[in-house]
Amino acid sequence: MSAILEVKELTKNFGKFQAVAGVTLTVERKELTSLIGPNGAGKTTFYNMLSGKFPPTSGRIIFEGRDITGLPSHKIARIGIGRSFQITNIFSQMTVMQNILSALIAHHKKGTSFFSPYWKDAGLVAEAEKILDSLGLLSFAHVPTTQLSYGDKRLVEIGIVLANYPRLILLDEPTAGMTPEETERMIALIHRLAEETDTTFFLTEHDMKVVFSVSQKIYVLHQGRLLAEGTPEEIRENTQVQEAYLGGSVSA
Amino acid sequence: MNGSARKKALLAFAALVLLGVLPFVVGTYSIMLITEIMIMGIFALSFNLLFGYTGLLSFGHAAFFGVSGYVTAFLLIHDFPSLLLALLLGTLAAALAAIVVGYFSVRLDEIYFAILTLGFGMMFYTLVHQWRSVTGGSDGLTGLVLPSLGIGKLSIDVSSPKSFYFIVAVFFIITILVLLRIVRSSFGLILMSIRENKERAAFTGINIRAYRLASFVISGFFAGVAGGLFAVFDRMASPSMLHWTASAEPVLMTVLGGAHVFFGPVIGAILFFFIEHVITKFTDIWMIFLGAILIPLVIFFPDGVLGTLMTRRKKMREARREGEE
Ligand SMILES: Nc1ncnc2c1ncn2[C@@H]1O[C@H](COP(=O)(O)OP(=O)(O)OP(=O)(O)O)[C@@H](O)[C@H]1O
Ligand SMILES: [Mg+2]
Repeated sequence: MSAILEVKELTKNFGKFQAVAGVTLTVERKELTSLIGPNGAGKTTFYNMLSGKFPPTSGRIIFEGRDITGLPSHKIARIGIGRSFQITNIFSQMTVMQNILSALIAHHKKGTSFFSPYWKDAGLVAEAEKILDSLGLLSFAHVPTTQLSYGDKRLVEIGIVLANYPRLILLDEPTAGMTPEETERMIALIHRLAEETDTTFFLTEHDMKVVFSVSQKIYVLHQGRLLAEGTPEEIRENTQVQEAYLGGSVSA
Repeated sequence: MNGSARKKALLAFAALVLLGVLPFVVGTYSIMLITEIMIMGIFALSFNLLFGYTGLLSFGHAAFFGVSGYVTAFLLIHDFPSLLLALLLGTLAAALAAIVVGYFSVRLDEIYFAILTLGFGMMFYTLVHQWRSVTGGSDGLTGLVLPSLGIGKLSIDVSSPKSFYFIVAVFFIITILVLLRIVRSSFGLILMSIRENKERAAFTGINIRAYRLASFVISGFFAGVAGGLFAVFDRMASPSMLHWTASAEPVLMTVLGGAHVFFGPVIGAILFFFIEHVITKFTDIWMIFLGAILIPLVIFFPDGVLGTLMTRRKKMREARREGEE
């Protein structure tokens, strides 16, 4: 196995507060990896640094052997890291199709076609339809995203991410706020995408059931520091982790 | 062609015929009024590429309108031989100014962007006001000499209101066609994505600043088209072209007509002039009355007059379709 992502001593300070404190970890190619931790542990902050939302205070981020520390988000996206957000983040006053097309246009660098109507690019539309079909959203293609259910909106965001064909996908709590059925669907989707594509998934989760059912490798973050790492079994047994989660609810 | 496309084509054809026939049935005063509406329509459309489609509220758009007006006027009072070339140079100067102003402004969002563009607008205003030797100070540049419109061997006299009307109409139609094409292109979809959610756009690999700057420059270019035409129309360029109240006009027109429908700003320009001309018949302080009319309009037509009407029609059609099912 080879590492797709190596993070060294990554730190983020907000004023005097240290949200992420010297985290070192590795994500192996094609190994479904999770980052878990209680509220405020620093998971989102960690992802924000990986995806270029803001630069780290110190530390290094190496993606496929290349130092990407401090690059702006659009460059990191182009290099091959996609992400979803904890709070659904899509293009709201646009149709589902337009959401996907926008990401595809960005991916294929077609944004400088000033005069060709995007819906007449048959190749592009077919590609978008394929992505929507794989998400079960094809019948909603021409519906404005404002009219979708919460779960479908989250799927649209996954579609936007997929349309960039990233080699590493960061999912920040992909099942947050979902109904049990929607959660099932999302887990099945992640499983399927992990199997069918070359993409490596790295996700954060609150729902322990989800974490243990999808992960091959788990990192535990607590107050900005790495508390433990291991297979789901090892993490389940870890007493330190159980304490961090107040009362050992990890075995849920 | 499906039903709605045919309806649109018919509507466009009717509008073209109307534009072509009008100057032969109305008086000189009306011809000039419609000419001015078309010029301001170009200005408002240019503004709306930035506002309605890219999500950036520029409060200094008169700078580009004015720069082009001054350059065009300057050339024409110095016996420049070609009207079209003078307009082109004025427009290019506006685009150049937009590159500089845009470079600094597109880094900022929302109110900060609006204030920075307002600041730049005031700078340009002060510049033309003070640089007397070139701009004529508060008098402006007057006494434009209009050369004939030289296209090859063909020479057209442009000084009559009717012939100038047709020149403006051609620019008006070209602007509409080009901007319509742009907002419906891949580039246009990326602009819309940035408007809707710039964070999501950045994380899909879109360089927000570069796209905003491109939009800003295209917008400044067409504001320049309008400004050059306006100077020719008025036979002068004056500082009032760059005053901040001149920047407010495309904003008002766009809000009045609707920012999220392509032709909203044009409808807004028509309404704006209609309101102005009706009221000025009764009173000189027409701005107060404009305000009094704008407030209920904005309340009852939150998406602009055209925007709100179109949304309503769409809803009615959907309701009817549901009723049929
Ligand atoms: N931009 C910011 N400025 C200041 N403090 C911040 C900022 N972003 C996050 N924090 C703080 O950093 C800490 C870590 O937050 P973060 O959102 O990374 O946690 P998390 O593990 O994602 O939590 P959750 O499970 O609730 O999503 C929190 O105490 C938070 O208040
Ligand atoms: Mg979080």
